[in-house]
Amino acid sequence: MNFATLIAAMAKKKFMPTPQVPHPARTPAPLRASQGSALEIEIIPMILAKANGGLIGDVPTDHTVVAVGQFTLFDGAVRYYHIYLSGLNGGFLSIGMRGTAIIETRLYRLYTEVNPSDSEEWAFWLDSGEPAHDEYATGFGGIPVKVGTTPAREADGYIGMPVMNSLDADGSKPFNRSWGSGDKRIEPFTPIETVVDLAGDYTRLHHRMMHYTRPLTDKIAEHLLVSAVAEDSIYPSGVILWLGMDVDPGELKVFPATDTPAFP
Amino acid sequence: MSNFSFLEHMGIAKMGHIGDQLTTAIINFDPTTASEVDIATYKEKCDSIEHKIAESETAVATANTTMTNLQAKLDRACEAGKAMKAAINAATDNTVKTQLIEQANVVMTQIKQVGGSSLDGLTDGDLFDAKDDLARAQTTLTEWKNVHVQMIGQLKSAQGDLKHAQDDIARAQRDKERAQARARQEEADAGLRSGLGASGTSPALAAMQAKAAKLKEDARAATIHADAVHQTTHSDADSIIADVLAKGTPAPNVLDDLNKL
Repeated sequence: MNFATLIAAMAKKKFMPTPQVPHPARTPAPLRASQGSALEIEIIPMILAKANGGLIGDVPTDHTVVAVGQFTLFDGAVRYYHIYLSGLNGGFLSIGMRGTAIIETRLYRLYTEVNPSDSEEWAFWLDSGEPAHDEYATGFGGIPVKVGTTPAREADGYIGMPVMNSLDADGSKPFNRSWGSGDKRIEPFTPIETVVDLAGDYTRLHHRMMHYTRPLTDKIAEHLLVSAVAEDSIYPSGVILWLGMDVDPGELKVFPATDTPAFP
Repeated sequence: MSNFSFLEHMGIAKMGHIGDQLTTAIINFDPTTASEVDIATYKEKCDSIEHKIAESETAVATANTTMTNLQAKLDRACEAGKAMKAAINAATDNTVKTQLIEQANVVMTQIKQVGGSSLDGLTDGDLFDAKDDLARAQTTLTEWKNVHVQMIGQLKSAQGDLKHAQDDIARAQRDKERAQARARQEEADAGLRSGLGASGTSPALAAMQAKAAKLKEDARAATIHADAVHQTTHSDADSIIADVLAKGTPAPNVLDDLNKL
């Protein structure tokens, strides 16, 4: 199942609470954007992105929260909430928090999804290199005999490279890696995102994730989030790219569902 | 507005009955006559002012964040408005132009809501209100701090006065004890004097005089005895003693003394 289909399936879930079976607990989320809450995004960030050459394009402004995902990065220093939205299939509002402070609010829409069909295609995205190792052959009497040494091979998976480009159709615009430092490839981050949908069902998404950014002006940037995602498994089923833009929390209006929990 | 009139205002307007009590307590406090209990009560009032200062600081921080966020929102909305203007001017297709104008109206509504009629938040609008709230919160904080400084001053003054008074009492007590001790000593001395009779001569002097008289008598006896042996020509004891004494201590030879130099 591809990612958009997965999120769409979550969005289609209906849950009719009864006195015997009450509504499942909603995930406490910043801005009270829990499952079932309505969310309105002002058009200002979209206008600014578009006016400054952003690729993200038009994004619907009115949404319902269909699922909430959570994970931590940077040794637990930053907690991310992915607020999956009804109007952006596979897209979400990402809220990054350090302690109790919101440090970033970004809106991501699904850019493209790739489903590699063989190991070679997977290697394009995730190859993590190979250390040097000795080669052996079977010698007299079946005893292994060292015949040489294969030199180390540097990792060259695309996810984690210092630069990632947009699609050719969008002019192959370069985005610079914004997680990790250095000018060499680094291994993707591997958070496990726990997603809870409207019906209270859990899905665990195992990511191999990296984040890229390109400036549009001195104050406005566009983001590219890429992840090889595995659903309730360690084997990824596809590589997903999202385009994102910064949204000021003041440009968001949340209408919490009646039983939305308070956010600590 | 004086600090106390500020307090009266705040006491009535924002702190209700507790505020009235506080205001009354502060105004009625007289550092020069305050007792230890008065000072302790006043210290409690001081602590409650510190609490108000902390609350005011939070209010200032909140108002400041709100104002900063609104300013940022207005800046972004204005930038979006300029972009819309350029897009509308550049649009040739009427349908596109109409859509852009609709969007521009939404943006302008945002700008007016935040920036008010002047569009910059200087006369009205959310940003103007936020600035006003911030200024008010800052004024309140400053006033509370001034009141606190004044109260601390009064408290220290009262504590100093009280300490001074306590020192005075202790000093007076010591003076009294010393005076009593002196009086006791004088009484004892007076008792001793009365025991010595009317002549007023001390027993030591009397003993010395008695001893001198005895020595004189002994000397006379010795002289009489000597005269009897050497047949002196003196007729009275005093001249005999003088003679003996003169003989006993011969005039020094001046040349001998000079030789010692």
